Amino acid sequence: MTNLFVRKATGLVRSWSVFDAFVYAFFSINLITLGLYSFSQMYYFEGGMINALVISAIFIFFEVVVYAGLIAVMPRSGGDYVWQSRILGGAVGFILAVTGWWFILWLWVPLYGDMFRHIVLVPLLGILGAKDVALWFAGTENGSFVASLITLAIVSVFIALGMKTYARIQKFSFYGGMLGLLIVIVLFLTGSNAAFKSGLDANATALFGAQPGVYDATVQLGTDAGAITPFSGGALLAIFLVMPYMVFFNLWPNWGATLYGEVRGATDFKRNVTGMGWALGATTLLGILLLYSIGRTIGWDFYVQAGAAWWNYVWGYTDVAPALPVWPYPALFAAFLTSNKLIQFVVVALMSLWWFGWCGTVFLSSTRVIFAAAFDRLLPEKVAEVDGRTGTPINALLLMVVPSIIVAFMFSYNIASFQSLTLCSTLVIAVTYLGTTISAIILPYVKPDLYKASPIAKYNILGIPLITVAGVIFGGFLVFLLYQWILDPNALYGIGIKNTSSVIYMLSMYVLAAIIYFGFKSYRKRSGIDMDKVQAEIPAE
Amino acid sequence: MDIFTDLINETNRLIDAANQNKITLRVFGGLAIFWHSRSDLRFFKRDSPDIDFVVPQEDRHKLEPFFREAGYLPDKQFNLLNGAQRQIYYRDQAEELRVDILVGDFEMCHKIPLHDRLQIDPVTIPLTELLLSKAQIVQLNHKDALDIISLLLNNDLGDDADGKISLERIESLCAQDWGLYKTTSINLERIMELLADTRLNLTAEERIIILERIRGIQKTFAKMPKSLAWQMRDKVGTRIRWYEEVEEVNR
Repeated sequence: MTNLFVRKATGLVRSWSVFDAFVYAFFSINLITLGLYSFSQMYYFEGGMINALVISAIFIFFEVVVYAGLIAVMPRSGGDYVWQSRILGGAVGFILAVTGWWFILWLWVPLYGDMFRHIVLVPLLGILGAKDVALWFAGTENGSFVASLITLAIVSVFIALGMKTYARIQKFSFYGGMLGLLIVIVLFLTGSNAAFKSGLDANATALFGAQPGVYDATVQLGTDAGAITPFSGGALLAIFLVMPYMVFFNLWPNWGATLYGEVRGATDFKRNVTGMGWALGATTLLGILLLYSIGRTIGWDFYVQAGAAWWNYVWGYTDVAPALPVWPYPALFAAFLTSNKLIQFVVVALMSLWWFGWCGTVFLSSTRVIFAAAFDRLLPEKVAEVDGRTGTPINALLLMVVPSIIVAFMFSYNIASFQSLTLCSTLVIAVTYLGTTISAIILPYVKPDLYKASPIAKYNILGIPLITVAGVIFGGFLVFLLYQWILDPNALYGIGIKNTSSVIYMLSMYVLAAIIYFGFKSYRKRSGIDMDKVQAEIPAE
Repeated sequence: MDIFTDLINETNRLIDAANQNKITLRVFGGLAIFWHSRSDLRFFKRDSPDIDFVVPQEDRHKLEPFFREAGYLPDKQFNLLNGAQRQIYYRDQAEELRVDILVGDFEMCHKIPLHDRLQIDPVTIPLTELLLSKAQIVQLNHKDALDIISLLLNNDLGDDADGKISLERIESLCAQDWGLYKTTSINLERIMELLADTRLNLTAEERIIILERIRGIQKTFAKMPKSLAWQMRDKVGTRIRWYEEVEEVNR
C-alpha cells in the first residue's frame, strides 16, 4: 500500500487560484488607469519618468517580500488588520487598517469615477458620435459626479457577484485589455509623428468639436503650464522626488493582501512573491514599453505638454481651457492613427477593459477588513452578514457606498478644495502599510513561536530574518515618501501640512477610527468581552 | 445509540425536512458510501461525526434558515467568505456534529458537474458521481481506497436509472475533462494493486468482481471519443499539474 497517501485535507478548494491573485495584483497596479492618469499629472518634475518607474519598482519589490511573508505566516482574510492587531496591538491595528483599507477608499471612488469617464465613457461616446454627452462627462462637475455614481453601481454589482465570478471578469478583462494594449503599442510603433498630428487635429475636431490646430495649441498651453518632466535621466534626488507621485500608481501589488484567506496555497511564500512580483515586474516592463512607444510617435514632449494643459486648467491654475477638450488619453491618440471608426471603437473598447477589470478593487479588499473587524466584534455583527436573497454583504457595502457618495460629491464639485486631495488617497494607505511593515520587521522577535513554525523561518540574510531585512528597506522607502508628502519641502505634492483641507480630512479619519475602536471596546467590556484577549488570538481561517 | 446510528438518523431527518422545504439535499462522502454499500459493510470505516451534503446553487440561500430551524448554527465566518461554494453548520455549540455542504457542483481536485443530476437518487448524489468523487482524489488515502472497493464490490456497472454505476456518465465526464480521466485512471490502477493485498479479506470471487468492474471502466476510457484538446492535453501529461489543490479547513 505504498502508493497511497496519508491525507489530512478535508477538501476545501479556495475561491482563487494563484493566477487569479496575480491578475488581481496586476490590475491593482493598473498601467492604463492609475498609470496613465498619474503620468499625465506628473508634468512638472525634473527627474526622468522611466528612472522613477524602475527605482520605485525595486523598492516596492521589498513590499512584495514583506506582504508575501506575512501572508505565508498568517493567510487570513483581513490581512493588514489581522497582522497589525495581533503583532502591534488592537488599537493600532484597528485604527491603521480601517483608515487605510476602508475610510480612505471613499476618496478613491471619485478617482475611479474620474478615470471611468476619461478612459471609458468619453472616448467611446466620442467615437460613437455622441459629442455633447462626451463633453458633458469630460468637462462638467455633474458629469464627474454621475461617472462616480455609475462607478459605484458597477462596483457594487461586481462585489455582489462574489470572488469567483469577479475573478472570471478580471481574467476576461486581462486578456482583452492585453490585446488592446498590444494593438495600441503596434499602432504607436508603426505610426509616425506626422500621421499623429494630422490624426489628432482631424479627430479632435470631428469627435469633440475642438478648434483646428489642436496640436500646436496644446504644445503652447503645456509649455506655459511648465511641462518639463523628461522621459529619462535627471539627478538622483530629482528622480527620487518623482517617486511620491509615481507610487499613486504602483504601490499596490499587495492590494490582494486582505483576500489571501481565499487564495489557494497562500502559505507558500515563494508562490506569493511570484504572484505579486510578476505583477510588479510585468507592469513595470509594460510601462517602459508603452511610454517608449508613446514618445516615439506622439512625441514625449507633446505627451507631457498635453497632460500639463489639461491638469493646469482642471486644477484651476489657469482660466485658459485646453485646446483638446478631453483628457489626453494615449489609447485614444493611438486610435486617431487610423480613420477607421470600427478599429477606433475596438481599440478603445478593449482598452476600457483595463478599467472594468480593475474597478472592483476599490471595495473588494476593503470588505475583508470590515468582516475581520466585525468578527473580532469591533463592529456590529450585522456588518458581516450577507443578504439572504442576493448573497451580497449588503451592510458592509453600505458602509463603503454611502460615505463614498458624499466624498464623490465633494470631489466632483471641488468643495473645500477636495480635488487637491488626490495624493491623500495614497498617503493614508502608506501609513497603514508602514504599520504592517513594522509588524513584519518585529514579527520574528515578538512572536517567535509563530515565526519559527512558519514557512518563512528558513529565509535569512546574514542571520537576520528576510522579512525583517525587507521590512527595513521598504519601511525606509515609506518614511521617505511620508516625509515628502507631509512636509513637502519642495512644494511638489500639495497634500501636506500646508493644505488645511488635507490635514483636516486625514486627521478626521484617524479620529473617527479611534472613536469607533475605543467606543466598541468599552461597549464590549460592559458585555463581558475583553477585546484585548479577542485580539490576542489568531483568527480561524 | 452509537454515533454512527445517530448520524444515519440525523441524515434521514435532514433530508426529509429538506424535501418538505423544497430543498434538494443529497448526501456524498462517508454516509453515501454506507448507503450504497449497506449489503456488505466490511470496508466501510468512519470515525468523524460529519455529514456531507450537496445542494443545488439555487437552493443555497435557503440553507441558513433551514439549518437554524433544524437546530444548527452556521459557521458564520466560513460561510461569509466561502458560502457561494461551500457552507458549514454545527449541531451545537460544542461543534459535536458538523454538516458540510457543497453548493452547486462537486469541486475538489476535479470538478464533477451535478446540475440536473440530483434527482436521480433520493438520498445521495448519483452512484456514478459518488464513485468519481472518490476516484478524483489525487492524494488517495487508505480509507478512500476502501470506499472505492466497497462501492465497486456492492454496485454493478449499468444504467443510472437502475441504480448502477453508469459507464455512459463516466465516459461523458472523462471525455470532457482529461484531468478527471487521468486521476481516475491512476486511482483505478492503485486499487488493482491494492486488491493483491491479502489483508483485505476479500474472497477470490470478490476480487474478480471488482477487477472486472475496474476493467469495464478502463475499456470505456480506451474506446471513448477524444477531442483534439483532450489528446493535446494527454500529450503534455502530468508534467503540468492537472488538478486543483485541496486544502484543510482549519478550525
